[in-house]
Amino acid sequence: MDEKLSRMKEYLEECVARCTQARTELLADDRGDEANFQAIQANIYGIFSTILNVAVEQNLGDPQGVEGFFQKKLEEIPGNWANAYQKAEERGDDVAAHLERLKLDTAEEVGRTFREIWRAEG
Amino acid sequence: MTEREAIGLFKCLADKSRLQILKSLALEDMYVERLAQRLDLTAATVSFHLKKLAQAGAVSSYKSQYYTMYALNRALFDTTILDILQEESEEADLQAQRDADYRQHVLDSFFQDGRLKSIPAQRKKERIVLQALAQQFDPQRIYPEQEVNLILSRYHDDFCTLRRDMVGEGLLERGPEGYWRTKQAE
Repeated sequence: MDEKLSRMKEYLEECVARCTQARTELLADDRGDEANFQAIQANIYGIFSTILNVAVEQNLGDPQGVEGFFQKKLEEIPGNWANAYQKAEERGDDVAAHLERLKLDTAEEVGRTFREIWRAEG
Repeated sequence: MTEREAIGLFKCLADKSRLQILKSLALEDMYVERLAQRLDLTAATVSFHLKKLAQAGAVSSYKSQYYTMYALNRALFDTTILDILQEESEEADLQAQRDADYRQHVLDSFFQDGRLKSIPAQRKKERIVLQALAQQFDPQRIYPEQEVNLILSRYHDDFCTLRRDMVGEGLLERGPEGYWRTKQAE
């Protein structure tokens, strides 16, 4: 489990670092909204990084427990974003809908990567 | 264009990606994927920017076969910044009220019992006082200098300075036949 855990942590840390760097560059290039997209994504990677730490603390030596905890949060947390996305779509607020979609896509990507790493052989 | 719309437009334009999109659309109408490929942005990002540009009235869209095409709203960009600045302010009434309050404050400070306590040293304040004095003159009449002096002496002993400054400020005009109130004094 240690290797999978460190791979997952490394992935999340790299994502945060990449988004932070991209945000700085986009701001310097007068692309404020795209810089904001990066900040939003960095926050989401950061949230799941924290959740992974909590999952490990609460399930020491239990890879299935970690997986169950993390998967549960991957389903629970984006729930609010899905609702906000739905509401934004209903009122025709395409800009807000885009931001909520971005959060959902990022969470989906985290989930996909988690399953790839956690279910890999070895 | 209202002030709110102008602010929305300027905020929207203050972004490099959106400016690049507009520059592309200035060349020809384009669809999202074409803009994304041209500007090296994701289609989702281009869509986001196009929504903001559409909200600001900078672009519009239309269907063409399978595509939604985006076009520059050229009428908006024919508007000059000076046109926007010359639009009447939504705060015009408020500003007029503030100006009136300021005028009244100056008059209250310099007039006492219907007499001018002193001639203001500040030009802006003096003009307000002189404008008030100019109301004592009938716009349809020509006044001999003596009568001008008599009217102004009711307000201050230094009527010569008042008369001279009223001419200097363009509130009274002088000719061989005498003085008359100008339109500026109205």
